[in-house]
Amino acid sequence: MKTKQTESNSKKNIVNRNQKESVWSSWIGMHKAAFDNAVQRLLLARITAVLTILVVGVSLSLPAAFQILVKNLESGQQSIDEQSRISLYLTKNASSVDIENLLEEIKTNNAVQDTMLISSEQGLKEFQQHNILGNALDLLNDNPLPAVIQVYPDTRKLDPNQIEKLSNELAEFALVDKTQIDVLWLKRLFSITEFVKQISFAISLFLIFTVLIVIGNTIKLLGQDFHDEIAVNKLVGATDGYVRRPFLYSGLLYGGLGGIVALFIILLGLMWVNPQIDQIAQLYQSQISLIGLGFSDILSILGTGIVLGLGGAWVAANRLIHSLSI
Amino acid sequence: MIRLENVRKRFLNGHDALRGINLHIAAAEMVFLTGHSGAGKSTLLNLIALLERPTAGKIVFEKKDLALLTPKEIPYHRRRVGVIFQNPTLLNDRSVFDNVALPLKVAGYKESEIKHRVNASLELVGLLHKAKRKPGILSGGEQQRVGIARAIVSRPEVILADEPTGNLDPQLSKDIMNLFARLNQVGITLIIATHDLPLIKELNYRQIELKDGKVLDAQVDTAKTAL
Repeated sequence: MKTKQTESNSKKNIVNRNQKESVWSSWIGMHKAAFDNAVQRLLLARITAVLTILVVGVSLSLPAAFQILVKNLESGQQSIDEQSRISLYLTKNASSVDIENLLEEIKTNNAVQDTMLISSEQGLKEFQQHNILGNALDLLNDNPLPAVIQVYPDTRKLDPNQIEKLSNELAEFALVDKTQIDVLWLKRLFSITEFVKQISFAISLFLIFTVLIVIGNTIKLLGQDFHDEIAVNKLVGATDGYVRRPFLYSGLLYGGLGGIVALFIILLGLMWVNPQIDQIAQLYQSQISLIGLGFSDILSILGTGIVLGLGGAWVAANRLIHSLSI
Repeated sequence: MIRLENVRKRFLNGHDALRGINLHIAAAEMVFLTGHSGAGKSTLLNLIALLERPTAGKIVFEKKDLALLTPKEIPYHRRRVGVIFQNPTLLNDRSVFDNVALPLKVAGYKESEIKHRVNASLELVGLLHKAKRKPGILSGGEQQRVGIARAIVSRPEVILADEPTGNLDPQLSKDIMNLFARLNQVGITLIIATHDLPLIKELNYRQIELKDGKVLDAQVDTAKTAL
C-alpha cells in the first residue's frame, strides 16, 4: 500500500549514528553507568554484600598469612645457611705442600664459596689462648691437633641436602681424615619450610575455590533479583557484554573490598604477633624480626581478590545470560 | 522488508503453533495480524523479533536470512525492531522515563539525546507529565502506552505489536491506532496482532488472518510491488 524507498531507512540510520557519542566517550560512559549500577546493586543488598566481602576477606587472609610465614621461614633459613660450614680434619702427616694443593683443588669446586685453612700450629695457639684443656697440652711432646680446612659452601646454590653431599665428596680426598658438618638444624628448618609451603599451597587452592564460589553465588543471587531487568534489556537489544558488565563490576568490588579486608586482618595479626616475636628474640639474644607486608604482598592480595571476583562474576553472569532463552 | 517462507514452529510439547506460513510484508507497510487466540499471532511476531527460532522455513529480514545471524548479531537486530506486548514488561523500580530510555542506553546514546528522545516519545503517547512516576502506580492503559513509548523511542525500522490495545478503552485504542498510522506515515513498518476487529475495520490496512497456524484468506498481493 505504502511502499517508501528503503533509502530513507538507511539515511535514518546514518543520522542515528551521528546522534550517538564517539566510540571512546560512549565506551567510558557505558562503563561508568555499569559501575554505578554495580554500586547501586551492592547498596541495595547491603547485608549480603557485607557478608560476602567479609567471607572473601577472611578467605584471602589465610593464604596471605601463610605466604608471610613462608617468607619469614625462608629468611630465617638463609641467615642460618650463611653460618653453615664444613670442617675438614686432615691427616696428621699431611705436608704443607699437599695441603696447599688440596686447598687449590677445593677452590675450583663451583659449590664452594670460600675456604679457610687453620694449620695445626694455629689450632694449638687457639687452644692455648683460650686455655682449653688447661696445661694438658704442654705435657705432650707433639702437637696433637690436625690441620683443618673450613669450607664455606655457596648457600645460594645449595640446599642442606646438597651441602651434605658436598661434604661427602670432600671426605673422599686422601688427605681428609674426617669431615664435620652441622646440617641437622638446617635440614629441619628446610623441611619445615617445605611442609609449610605445601600446606599453604593446598590451603590457597582450597580458599581460592571458596572465594570463586562465594562471589559466583552472590552474583547468581543478584542475578535472580535482576532477572526481569536483564530480560527487558535483552529484549530492547542489549548485547551480552552490556548485561554482563555491571555484574563484572560487582565481582570486582566484592573481590577488591574483600582484599582490603584481608589486608586489615593481616595487619592486625602482625600487630598481635610482633611483640611476642620481639620477646623471643630477646630471650635468645638474637636479632630475629618479622618480615611484614611488602608492597608486592599488598598488590598480590588485592590483585588476587580482584581477579577472583571478576572470574566468579564472569562465570555466574554467563550462566545467567544463557539461562534466559532470549 | 520481511519475508516468511514456509515457516513452521513446533513447541517442545509437540504443539504446532505455525504450520507453513508464507508472507511478505513490504517496507513502510502497516498490516494487521488477526485470528483467534492460539492461532499463532504471537509466535509469528516472536519469530521476527528473534525471541524464538522457527522449527523450519526461512525468515528474511531486509534481504538477510535471520537463521544466519550469529548470537552477537541478534542484539543489533532487536534494536531495529520495536516490540510491544499486551502485558508491557516494565521495570517497576525505575521511573517511566528510565523505562522508556532503556533501548537508547543499551545502544549507547548520549544523555542529552536520550532526554530529548524519551520526552518526545512520552509526548507522543501523552504521558510526558507522568515521566517521573513509577510504572507500578499507573493504570493498565498508561502502562501499555509506556511500553509503546519504549518501543518507538529508538525509531526502529519495524514495530511488532502484540495486542497493543488489549488493556485500553475504545477511545484510547483509537488514539493508539492513530499513533501507529502516523508512525507508518514516516516510513516505519508495523505488524500489529489484534483481535479488535471493529477497531481495525475502520482503518484501511491489509489484514492477514491466521487460523491454526496457517494464513487464511491472505491479501498477500498488496505487497507484491515491493521487496
